[in-house]
Amino acid sequence: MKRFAYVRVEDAGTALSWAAKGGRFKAGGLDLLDRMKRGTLAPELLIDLAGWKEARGIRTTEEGWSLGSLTTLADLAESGHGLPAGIREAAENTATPQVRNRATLGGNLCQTPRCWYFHDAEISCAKKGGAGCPAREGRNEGHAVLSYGECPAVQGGNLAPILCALGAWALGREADGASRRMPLADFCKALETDWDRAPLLLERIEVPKTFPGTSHVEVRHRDSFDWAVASAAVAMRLEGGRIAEVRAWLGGVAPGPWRAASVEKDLAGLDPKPGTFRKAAEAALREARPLSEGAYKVAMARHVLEKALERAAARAAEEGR
Amino acid sequence: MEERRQDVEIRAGFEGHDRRIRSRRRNPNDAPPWSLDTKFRVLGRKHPRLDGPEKVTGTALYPSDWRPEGLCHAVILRSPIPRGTVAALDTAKAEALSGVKAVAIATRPGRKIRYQGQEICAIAAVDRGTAEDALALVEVRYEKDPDFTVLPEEDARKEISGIDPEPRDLAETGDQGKEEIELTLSFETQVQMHHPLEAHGVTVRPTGDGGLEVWASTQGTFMMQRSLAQAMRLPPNKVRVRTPHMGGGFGSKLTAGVEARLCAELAMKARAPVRLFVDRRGEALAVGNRPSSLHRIRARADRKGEILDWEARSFGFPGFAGSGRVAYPTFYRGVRPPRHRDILGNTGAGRAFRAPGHPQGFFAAESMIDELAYRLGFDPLDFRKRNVDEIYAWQIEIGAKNFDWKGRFNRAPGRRVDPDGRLRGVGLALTRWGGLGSSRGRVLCRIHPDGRVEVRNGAQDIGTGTRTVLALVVAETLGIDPSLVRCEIGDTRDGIGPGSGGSQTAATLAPAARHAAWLAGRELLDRVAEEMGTGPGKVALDAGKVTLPGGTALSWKAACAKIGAEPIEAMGQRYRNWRGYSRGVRGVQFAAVAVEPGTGKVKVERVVAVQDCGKVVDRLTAESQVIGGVIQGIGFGLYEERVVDPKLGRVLTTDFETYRIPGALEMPEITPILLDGCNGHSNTGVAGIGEPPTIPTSAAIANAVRNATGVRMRALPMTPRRVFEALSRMRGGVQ
Repeated sequence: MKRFAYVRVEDAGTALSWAAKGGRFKAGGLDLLDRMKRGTLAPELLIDLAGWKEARGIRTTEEGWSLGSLTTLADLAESGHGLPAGIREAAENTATPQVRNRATLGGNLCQTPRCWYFHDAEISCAKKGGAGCPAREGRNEGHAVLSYGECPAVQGGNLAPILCALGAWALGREADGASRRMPLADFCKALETDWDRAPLLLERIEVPKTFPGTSHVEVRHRDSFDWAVASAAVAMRLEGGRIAEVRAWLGGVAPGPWRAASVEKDLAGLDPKPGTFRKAAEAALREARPLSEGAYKVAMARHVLEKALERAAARAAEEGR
Repeated sequence: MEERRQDVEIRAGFEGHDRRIRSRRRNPNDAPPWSLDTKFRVLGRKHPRLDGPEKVTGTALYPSDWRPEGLCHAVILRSPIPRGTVAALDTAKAEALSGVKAVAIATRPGRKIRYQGQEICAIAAVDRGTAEDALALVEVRYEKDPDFTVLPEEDARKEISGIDPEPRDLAETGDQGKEEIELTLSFETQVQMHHPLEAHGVTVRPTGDGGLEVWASTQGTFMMQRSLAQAMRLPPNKVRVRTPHMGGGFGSKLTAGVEARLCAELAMKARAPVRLFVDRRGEALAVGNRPSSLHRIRARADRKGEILDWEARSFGFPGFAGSGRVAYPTFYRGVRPPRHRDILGNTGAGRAFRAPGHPQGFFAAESMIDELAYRLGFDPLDFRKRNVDEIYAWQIEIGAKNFDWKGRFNRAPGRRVDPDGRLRGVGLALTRWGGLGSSRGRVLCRIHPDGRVEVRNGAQDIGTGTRTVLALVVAETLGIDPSLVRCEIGDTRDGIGPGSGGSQTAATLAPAARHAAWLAGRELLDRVAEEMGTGPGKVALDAGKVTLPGGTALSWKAACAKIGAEPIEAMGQRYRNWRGYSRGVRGVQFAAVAVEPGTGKVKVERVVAVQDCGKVVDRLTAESQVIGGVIQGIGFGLYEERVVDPKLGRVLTTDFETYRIPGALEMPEITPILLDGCNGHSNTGVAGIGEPPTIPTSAAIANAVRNATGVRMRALPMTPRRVFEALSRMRGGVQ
């Protein structure tokens, strides 16, 4: 690890003024410190956001919930507030209890994609200023199978799919300090192009109360401390026993959270009885383009999508009763 | 006491499976041997380990914790390329950096590089940050050799498949009912990393007399002393190795590695203590592994359950050096060892790893035996019983009963889906190991006038409870409470002891401890008799008391008060083994698994591990070793795998994120069943237990997956992806 300076701030203004001098924000620090130790990132200044009170805590609002970007994953998983089941599931499936006690919502949304080539400082790749991508011709069972460009590294954050499915908004500050609100999906999309430059300093995430049925389902190699091979998050609303509106997003399969748009059309108006969802899940994955070792990931994406749709439908039906 | 040569006859083995052992070679000076008829007061029960409180409260001092005055910190520069030459190496800028104390070169210009991670040089500085800054200033020019291989398995695979028919996944092949069958299957195992939680490393302090004090995370204090002295051209008595505790080794810390030699050189150059511990990435690259293996077995068996013919070829891939040899369960009638060849490659060297060669070979051979049983229409348990000796048959019965084999055995593999959507099945596999100990051990026993007893030996505790084992043996021999015994280990100034390899530590040191305590106890009686004015031979040790003529007795403390100001001191010898009940230990493991067909995930739900180890000293720490062995076997069977990129020649799994070891949620219910006996080959009859319980686990799991799904997994680890693909092949009818 290279030497660095460290400041602790208590408000967004101070944080941004340090950032203007080239500092890098630190929330929980899990992903950030790993990269510094691996030597793939060497910031000269760390700006610790831990003292920034406005960005902490969970509030219930008229429209839904407002989640501070510094809220820990443990709080999301356990603190109640009537949070949608899918958010709790996504949080509690992340890493380990120790990690969840430190890791923050904002950090989870902004974390660096997983790639064992990128994370090895001695391997050259396009994302580190080199040329080409060794994963494409190499060992790529963990890499993207959908909508990737030059870089097939997968963003593994667990919270983005369910929050995007719920139509969440990102609130934060631009570099000049101005407040701005944007769809979280757009925020995530922007991160895909430049991992190290978020469009906003995230302050809060607003989650509307639109969908009574939510779920997060994932498959991983190992239950203790692992990243999802594939995860699916679903938000669903029924009307008269039929699917009125559904959003399905996948995680672990693309450079960012991936919207399974075909599901929205394919399922609209259908009766959510068992067996309905397999075809929709298969159709959603039809455009998958796995690399040499990615076929298992595609199969798992289908599997979790079907399970997540089933679970969300059951919850939506229960809420309606 | 009589000091003449004598024959001793004792009853050894296990109750119900015992035999009288007669030894003509037993040394007459040794303590009388324990036997099945000995009534034990201390041994065989559950004793919490004596240093447990120190370990869990963090006061136990591990070698990596030691911070002597003026300590410098060192880091290693490693080769980024798998093969080539160091064309040029310039450390001048690094040495000029303020705070840098010394530089040591491991690979000089012109020397070959044989794997990624090879040590180039090490730098010691006033703190770790400065050492790392200095490392970045070292200028190295590498001449890459493009002719490298990090996956020699691929070549061997071609060689084998040329003569091997593509193996079939399905058992339902119409073989059942035939007079005899012939089967050819190939098997593969992966590279497993040791990854002890305390990394490889030492802290070296130059002493005033030109020697070195070395705090080493080692599993062989004396081997470390010898190899480091040799490397530094010092007489061994100038190197003092201390290992009061250490955080695991699994076979990879037996001698002084490059890191220890570099650290000693740095300390001598800097004339200051230097600490050098390998980082996690270095652990993944350069300090050993369990080599991968490839097997092809052709076997013939008949409907009577007899293995008629067994011919096997195997390959091992130990990296740039080391041994990749494998061991088969040749105690099965008809099973023969494989014809073996090692193929080297450009990765870190293989090292001894908890039962070297055994989990690999047992996975292949036990899978083969299992498949023969299925295809002949046998219950795999019955098939095994027909081909082993009566001790194994007895152990299989014990385990089967506890496990409920008959009740759990799946009679419709792949077709019986449980209400939770999972496929369940059971499997078993056997294990065998030696571990009777060597004559390499001297233990000191002191009885102090206040009644406290001190036990000392220079060997280390790899983590299995050496202190506790020695203290309990001494307490048993003297008939006193173990809380009176204090055991000091891990300092080469004390009596010699073995490296913790081959499951030898307890089996080697327990007899020496018993001998020492027995000698000290005799002297205690002599002194008490003298003090009390009774004749020699009239006093005796009994149940923690010293009995006197006339039916009176002294308490232990009162007796010790009579020995005078000086403690009693005795050095116990470890005499050579004589022929005991068995040449080693046996065991059998049963695994129950649940397979999720939609994902290929295998969950081990229960493991029953029957294991013998001669006389059980501490049932708690012995069971703990069985449980640890099973856990490491689960890791080998399902999760752990070193992944390399063959084009780049690099290891990709260099951290615990990508190299998956099993965690708490992967743990099944593990039931150790220790068969307490007495092997009768030494004065204690204790045999080792560190290695045997990790040998059969992966095979038992694979056999359980076969019973659950009908699919024979032929490659480890059985990751969800591999199992899913195998299930898909079967569903698709591809064979």
